[in-house]
Amino acid sequence: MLDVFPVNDYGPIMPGLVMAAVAIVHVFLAQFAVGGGILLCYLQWLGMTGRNPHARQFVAGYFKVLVLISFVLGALTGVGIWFTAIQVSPHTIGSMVQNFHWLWATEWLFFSLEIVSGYCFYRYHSRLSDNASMVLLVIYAVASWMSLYLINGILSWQLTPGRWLETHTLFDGFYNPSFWPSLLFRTVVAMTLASLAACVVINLMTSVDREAKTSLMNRVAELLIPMVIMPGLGLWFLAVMPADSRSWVLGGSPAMMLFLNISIGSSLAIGAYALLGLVLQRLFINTATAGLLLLLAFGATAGGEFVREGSRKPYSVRHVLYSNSIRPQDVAQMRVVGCTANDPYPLRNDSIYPNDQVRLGGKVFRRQCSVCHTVEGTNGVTELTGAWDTNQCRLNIAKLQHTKPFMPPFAGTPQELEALVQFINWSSAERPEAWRENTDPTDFAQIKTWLEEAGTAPGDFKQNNKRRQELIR
Amino acid sequence: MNLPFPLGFPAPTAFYLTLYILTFALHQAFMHYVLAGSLYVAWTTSFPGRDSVSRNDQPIAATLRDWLPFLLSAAITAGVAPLLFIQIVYQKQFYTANLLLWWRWMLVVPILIIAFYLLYLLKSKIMAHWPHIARSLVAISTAACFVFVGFCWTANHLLSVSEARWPEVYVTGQLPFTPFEVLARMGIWISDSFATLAAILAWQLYRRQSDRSADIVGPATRNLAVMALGGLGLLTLAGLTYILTAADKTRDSLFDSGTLPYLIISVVGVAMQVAGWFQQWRFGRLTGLWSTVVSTGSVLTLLAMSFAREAIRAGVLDMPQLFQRHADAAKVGGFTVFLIFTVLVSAAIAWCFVTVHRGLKVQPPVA
Ligand code: HEC
Ligand code: HEM
Repeated sequence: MLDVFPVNDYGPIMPGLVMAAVAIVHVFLAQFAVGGGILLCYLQWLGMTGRNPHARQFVAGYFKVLVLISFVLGALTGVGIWFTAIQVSPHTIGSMVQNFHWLWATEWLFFSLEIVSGYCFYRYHSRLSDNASMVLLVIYAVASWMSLYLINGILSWQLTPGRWLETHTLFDGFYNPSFWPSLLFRTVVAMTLASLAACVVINLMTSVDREAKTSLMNRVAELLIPMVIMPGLGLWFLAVMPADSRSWVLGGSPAMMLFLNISIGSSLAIGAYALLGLVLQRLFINTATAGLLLLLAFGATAGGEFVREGSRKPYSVRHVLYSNSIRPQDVAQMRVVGCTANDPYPLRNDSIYPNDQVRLGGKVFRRQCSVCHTVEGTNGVTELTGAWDTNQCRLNIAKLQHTKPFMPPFAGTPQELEALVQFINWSSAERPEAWRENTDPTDFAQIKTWLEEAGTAPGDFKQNNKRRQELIR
Repeated sequence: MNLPFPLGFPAPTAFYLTLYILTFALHQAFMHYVLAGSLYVAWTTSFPGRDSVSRNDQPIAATLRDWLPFLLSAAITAGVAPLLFIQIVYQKQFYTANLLLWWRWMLVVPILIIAFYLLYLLKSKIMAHWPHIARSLVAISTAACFVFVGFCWTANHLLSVSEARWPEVYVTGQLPFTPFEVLARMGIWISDSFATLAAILAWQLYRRQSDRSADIVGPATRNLAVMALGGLGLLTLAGLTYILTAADKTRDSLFDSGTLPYLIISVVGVAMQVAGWFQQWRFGRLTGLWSTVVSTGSVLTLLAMSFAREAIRAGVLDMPQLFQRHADAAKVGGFTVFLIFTVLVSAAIAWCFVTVHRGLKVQPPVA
């Protein structure tokens, strides 16, 4: 069994949402930086070869934006995501570090290269020759794309560990089934973001006239062309996704479906506008429109990241670790010894609990449910169980992985399960001062039977669907 | 007689510890520049002095304002590597301390973002016409942000080694150490940061020394010497206070034969810095030779203190309990990939410098 870490209470929001919020901002900025590198190399080349006389000015202006936004916010939200990941699930980040630390260390080398080449360009490019500037820009672009390449392998491993599960070799984990589709997808997104941000920057340039701006805009819009392959890459990604994750995304979970639709809708809108207006008709777009497109792109990123985070359920690393930091192979043992036995942390506000059973229930909730549920806020258990009587509640929690296969199996003793049910009931009853402890042995025996029927294996979404259809019939 | 720390540990433990310490020392070097630099700028902005050229426009403060944003980038980026290795070496301790500090810990990132933009503001010309009080406020706030971030790391460190107190901290939210303990520890790195800053600034000013007149170079050199010698003096005081007030166990591991060499090396480092600054003070200008002596001393002090700091922590924790995790980590692949890219990336970094160096020779500065 794994060590138990102290769990913090996020009030009415669930930890996953905090994680998603930080991740979305970071991914948006980081991809902008990666695309920015590619865009700058292209524009520098246009300037050097006389293809666009205003390109040099643009390169200087755009790099300033990149430094002020991406070097500061991008780098620090990266640290922020790390800190947040530790807060939300130390075991998840711990197992990623354990397995991939050398790749992370390699990524760190590229971060260092990025800031050195970036700052050299930023500080000195006005005094450097075209060729020297180009060398720095190419190094910068390669370094930032390599950091995407490396982190992409680690993140995609979480969802599709593939052959790594048997071989445990680094390369099987890194070049996992979703590595290529997600790398290519992210690269296209990066170019899109950089291009849209460039449209804003061009609008804000004061030193060139409208005609020059249009000519620059037509050039940066060329980076939007790869968007045409996004639908194909998206389908490729869906195809390599585990079947159950795919089914959550494609309708199994309404929230997930909504976010996927936001993502697809925004991307389509940007793609259509970009290709028709900017590339084919060579239109000029003003700051407001460019800003709006960038906002849509943010929406698309947000939807995409949300789906990526959510579709892993019930795992945080597929087949290795459940979201609540319990390993699949530990469930059976935890059914015997309990999930609170090795938890050294008392509850906060211990005195408000009416008896030891409810107190135990509070600890079980904290250990097994709190990563995805709150008590009364978003995805609150009191509301979700509101329509059930106590026995239904016992049954559905005992068979948690069959109730909804994106939940892990219950990993505790019958006593702990009953305590959890009492804790939920007590919370639903608005936490009265007095509460009766349930010691009825028949209830415990019933729970034990249900737990045995549920088994300790994860839920199977196909069987679950079948069961649901039978129920409907 | 023990082997010098961390050689007495099993190979994987010693290996990850060494990597952690080396990258941590690099982080410290940049961090020292940022911390002491922002404190210095806070001082020169608030007290510009009565000389014809305000303190704030003299070479030291001007160089600092120019370079601080980049050095902060460097400090943050360099911090990522020890952040990675600490999660292998002391995973449980580090994570638990993070979780127990909770929102106090999560403040670090937004504060650093604010401080970063404040540094750019200090560097820009936007503030030139602001009233003195407003400029001082910006400069002081910036420095305060960095002191606060440093405080958070110290608190996190102290918390991570107090396992017995964790449940109590979780319930009460109160940190299990006295302000005095924190201050004694902070005193050590804040004072040393001025010595490190002076050692780096010496090279930055030395490069442009021949362009400047003696009445600028002289005071600048003496200011640096005061900064360094003052920092080293305070470091000695803070170090002695720390040793005298430390728990017996801590003191024992500090004077253990495996740690003693580091203590001696840091004293040697301090002595080299004192000698180097004393000489440059006398000459009234910076010299390549004595700046090299100072830098070498500064690197020795920084490295030796980082090793000693770790030896103390290892003396307090139950290290054998951690060996298995380190051994497991050592089994996963990728080290060769890292080594290959270390060579390639170092070459690319060198290429950047060469490109700039050559480019600037062809195209001399405009003014
Ligand atoms: C991996 C994340 C995760 C964990 C861990 C988890 N749940 Fe859930 N649970 C969910 C999601 C997602 C839903 C779906 C919510 C919805 O449909 O709106 C859900 C739904 C539920 C429901 C409603 C089921 C229904 O059929 O309407 C209950 C009750 C519930 N969870 C209780 C629990 C309890 C008790 C625990 C701890 C023992 C737990 N969950 C652990 C993610 C999780
Ligand atoms: C400029 C802002 C920062 C300052 C002033 C600062 C200061 C410090 C100080 C003083 C320590 C030593 C604490 C002690 O031993 O008491 C430390 C340790 C450390 N810092 Fe920083 N730091 C800063 C930013 C960062 C960032 C952004 C990162 C991560 C990316 C980082 C990573 C680390 C790590 C990993 C340690 C070692 C912690 C330990 O061993 O317990 N630092 N920092």
